[in-house]
Amino acid sequence: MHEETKILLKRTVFLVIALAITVAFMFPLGWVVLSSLKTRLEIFVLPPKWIFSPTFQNYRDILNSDFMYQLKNSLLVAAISTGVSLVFGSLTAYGFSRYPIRGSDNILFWILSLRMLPPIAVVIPFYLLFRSLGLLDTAIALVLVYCIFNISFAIWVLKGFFDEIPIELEEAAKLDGYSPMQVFWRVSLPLVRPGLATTAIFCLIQSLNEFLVALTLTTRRAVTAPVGLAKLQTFLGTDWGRISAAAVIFMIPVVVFTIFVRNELIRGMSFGRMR
Amino acid sequence: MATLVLEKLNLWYGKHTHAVRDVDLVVEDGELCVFLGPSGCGKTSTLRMIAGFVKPTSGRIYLDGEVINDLYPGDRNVAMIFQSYALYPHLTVRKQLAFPLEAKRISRQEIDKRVEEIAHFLHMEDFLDRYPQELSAGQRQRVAMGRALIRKPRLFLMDEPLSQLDARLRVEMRASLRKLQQELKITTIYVTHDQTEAQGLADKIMVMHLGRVQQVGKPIEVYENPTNLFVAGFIGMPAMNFLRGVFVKGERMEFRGNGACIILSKTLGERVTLLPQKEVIVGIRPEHLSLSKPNREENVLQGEVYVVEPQSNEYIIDLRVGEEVVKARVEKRELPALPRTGEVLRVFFEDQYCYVFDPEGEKRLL
Repeated sequence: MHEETKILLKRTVFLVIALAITVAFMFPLGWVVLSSLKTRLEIFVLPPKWIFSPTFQNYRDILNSDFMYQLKNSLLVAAISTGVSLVFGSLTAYGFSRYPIRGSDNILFWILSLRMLPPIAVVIPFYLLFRSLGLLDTAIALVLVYCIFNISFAIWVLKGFFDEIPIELEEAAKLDGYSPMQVFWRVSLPLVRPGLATTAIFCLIQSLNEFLVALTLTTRRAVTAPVGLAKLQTFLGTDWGRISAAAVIFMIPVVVFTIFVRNELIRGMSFGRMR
Repeated sequence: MATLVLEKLNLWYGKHTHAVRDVDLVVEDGELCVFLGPSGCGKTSTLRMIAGFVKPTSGRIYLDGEVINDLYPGDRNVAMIFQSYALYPHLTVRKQLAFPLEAKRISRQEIDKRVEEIAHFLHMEDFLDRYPQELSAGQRQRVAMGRALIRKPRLFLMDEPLSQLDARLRVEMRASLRKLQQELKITTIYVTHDQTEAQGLADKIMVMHLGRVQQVGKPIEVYENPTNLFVAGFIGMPAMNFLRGVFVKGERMEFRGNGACIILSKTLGERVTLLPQKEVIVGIRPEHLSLSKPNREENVLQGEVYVVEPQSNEYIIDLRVGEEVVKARVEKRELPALPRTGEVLRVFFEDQYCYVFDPEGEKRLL
């Protein structure tokens, strides 16, 4: 009896804390969603209105604006750079994990250091570089820059996952008549699926959220959603309703993708043993 | 289906570790050869060279007369059961079994047929659509065996395949493994550090220690005729008793060492005099020691009972003989009662069961 109350108490405390954390994190999201459904006046009413008749005018405005084009840019750039990062990241990580490479620790650290780079330090050189390449205001330029950050991240995450695969699994497949490339494709890669999902999510979010480089390298054609969002703040004033609606729309792809891979993601984050 | 020959096989890991040294071996067609030795003796390294996972630093591996040193593992037509079984976690048992066949461009129908066959043969029909994580240790073991058997390999390699099973299952699987191998007549290399397994399974045992082959022979040969101190000590449970000392010629030939003294029988004494040296290690197996009559003097060890381990039908008795401890396996019916600590017991051995070794080179002298 005593033991049971103890367990009950523990569970309650845990739930309360978990709930508190969840509320703290979800509150801003909820606020944005609510704001997107309010009129310009309702947004600033104090105390805030929790119950109101929602308007979809903000969404209508946004759907008919440049923002949708910018969102398309964002998704395109993010998807391509994520895809490229996964391909190169997994191959490189596999190489580092499975083959003895002289000085591999140093090389890996050098790769990681690319990610430590503060973007502000390189954004001007990037601008000059892409200007001479004639790639200013193109999606390719953004894809290239995001790949620098994403590939190094992918290599580090995926190397950990490849390291976890027992070498015997690959040896068994070799003995069964598969070439090293086939072993990678048919045994190793399927086994790091949780790692691929985790990496994909992080790369996607990183690329979608990136602001500084996108702001510097684009002007009109290749403007991405975060930059577009910022540009909704005009000298005529800030339309918070429309910004909120845009933000909500902007969130949808990531949420959908996360739901799509959530099983893999949970397995990936808990680094479950595979044996 | 295949004869395996190893010729002067050497393996270095880096510059400092000489893992396998000058290994020579012939495994005849259909034979089951056990590599036996303590961990780190080079037995698994030798196996991995045969499989093709590591390249020998020098020496040759012949399979059916063909040198396979540079052949890719998949081109050797060799199958292996790993200690961890190495089942693919992302494939069901059915796909697992089909996996080696899919590499060979065999038609889907043929693959399905062979999978059904092997599943029936190893009684795996009930769990064909489960994942390895959902199987018991014994079932996993069978799947690993099925995956190895399904492509009808020339050579079967097994790396401690029973070590993950519990004791009862291990004994069961040992017998079925032996039966299977004899039915299929596949040349097999079996790596283990468990001598009971080796004795039970092997046509031929290769005992290894520190990367070197110590002895190759039938199970009974390595037990009865160990070539050196290591093999003598490694084979047999409990291990052979070793007494260091000298032969002294008095009225009779005697062995003296560390407080222990054995008066040798006439025939044994004569054989001992022919030895090139007097300083030796004498070895006697615990099971060759039996209780002696009180009036017997030759080949007798006398000592105080130190520890008694009762087994189902025998006692393992530690006797303190001088400064040495000698183990004896005595059947329960030979003794009137459980021997008490401190009690004096006399045990003797037959002439042919006395082994003599050179303490320097560790070679067997007699």
